[in-house]
Amino acid sequence: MAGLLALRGLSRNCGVASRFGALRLNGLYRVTSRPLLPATCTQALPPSQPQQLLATSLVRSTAPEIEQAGHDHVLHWTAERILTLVLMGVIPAAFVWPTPSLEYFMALSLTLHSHWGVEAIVVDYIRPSVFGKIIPKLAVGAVYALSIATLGGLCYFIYTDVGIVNAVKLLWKL
Amino acid sequence: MKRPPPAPPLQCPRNGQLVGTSVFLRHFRLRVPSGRGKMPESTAAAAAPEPTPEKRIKKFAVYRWDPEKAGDKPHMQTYEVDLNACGPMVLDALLKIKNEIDPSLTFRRSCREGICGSCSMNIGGVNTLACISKIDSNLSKATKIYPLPHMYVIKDLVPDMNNFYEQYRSIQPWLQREDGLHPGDQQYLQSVDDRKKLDGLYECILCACCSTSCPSYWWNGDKYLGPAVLMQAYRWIIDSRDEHSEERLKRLRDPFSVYRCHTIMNCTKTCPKGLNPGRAIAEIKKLLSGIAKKGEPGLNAMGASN
Repeated sequence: MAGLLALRGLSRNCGVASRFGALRLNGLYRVTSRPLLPATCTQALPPSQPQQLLATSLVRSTAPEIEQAGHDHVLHWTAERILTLVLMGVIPAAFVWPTPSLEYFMALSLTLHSHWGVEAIVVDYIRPSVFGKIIPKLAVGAVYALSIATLGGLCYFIYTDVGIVNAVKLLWKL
Repeated sequence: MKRPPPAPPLQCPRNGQLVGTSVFLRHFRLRVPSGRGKMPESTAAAAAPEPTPEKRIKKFAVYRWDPEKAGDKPHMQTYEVDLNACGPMVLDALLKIKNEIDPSLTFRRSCREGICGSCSMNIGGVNTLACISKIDSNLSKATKIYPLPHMYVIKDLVPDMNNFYEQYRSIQPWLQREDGLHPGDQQYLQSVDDRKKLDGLYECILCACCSTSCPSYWWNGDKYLGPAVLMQAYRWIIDSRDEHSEERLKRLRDPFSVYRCHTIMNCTKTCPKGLNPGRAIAEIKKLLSGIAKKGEPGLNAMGASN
């Protein structure tokens, strides 16, 4: 029994130290008034500690809160779906009727589509728990810069050169 | 079948007194196998020349890490098990190893029939339940067994599930109504069609195989709720008897709780119960965006009181 308690206490402390330290789903641990052990998992625990931690966790009956991390993302998701549908129409349309206005619209929607995709990748992988507070923000900024440069470049290409559709057609001929 | 000889007189061999029931039972139980064990002459003669089957040695490479051993690094340890003397499932092999080879091997298990979700682990590269996954009978290859991927390990195959359980608590997995009744005061009616919506959702045993197979959950497990928890969130959102769907949905609108799901579908592929968490998350997204609506309950939940 003591071994079991020690193991549970160990797991709890591992969790507290490494996982819940600064994170949001730690309602369970906020109620413990005693300072949490900055323990590594290999440290031996005094027998009283795990029992108390166990007791506080058993009496809790309310749910921890899902912290609203950032803005409302629902509109963004809906916009992504709509844009996907739009792209399915715009790309063939631009090839059938290659007018400058359709080309600009295609350039904008393609850039926006890829921007959201790359942004999602950056948010997924370059995350604060690994890279700290600053680098993730810089990375997202870099994605914006890249997307603006892409859009600018495409517009410049459409304005001064043959345009996207014709460029693809010329490439295809090679 | 020859019957065992009658039990000896009920007297204690030491002092000759009559003995109690428990001693009698012990005598009786001990005698029965010896009577049954004797085969008739003809059967014994036929069975004698049968050769003992060859051993089928299967190797199991198991992830080991002991936090109590100072300086111990995670490593793989290989065990050899004779499949002819072992049950068919990976859990049988693990139990055999623990019983006969290495009692220090640590893993969770309980029901041994795929209903408790304790023995979830990564077997041969797939998250599954050890108790319902068959041992690969290819003897030339070792079966590799790891704990659930990207979880903090407590010891050997035992992962720390605290974050997962906390996330489950955070979606408030219980019926919520405005009628102010206490649990048990009232039976709530539900139409057959409404009940059908819960099929494929309520069967989840929270083994965490799906969540720990999801790359999004690996990278953002602190903020993304993961497929298992989201499927349960959906299970309560669409329950026709629950009156807090709006509030439940409102809590999921941020960019991380739901929207880190990129429909990778590892969850659905790995689920040992054959459920589809990926679809449940898609349904949540549809409800959030307003493309789909929950709809009115088919039966008045309070109908039973009239």
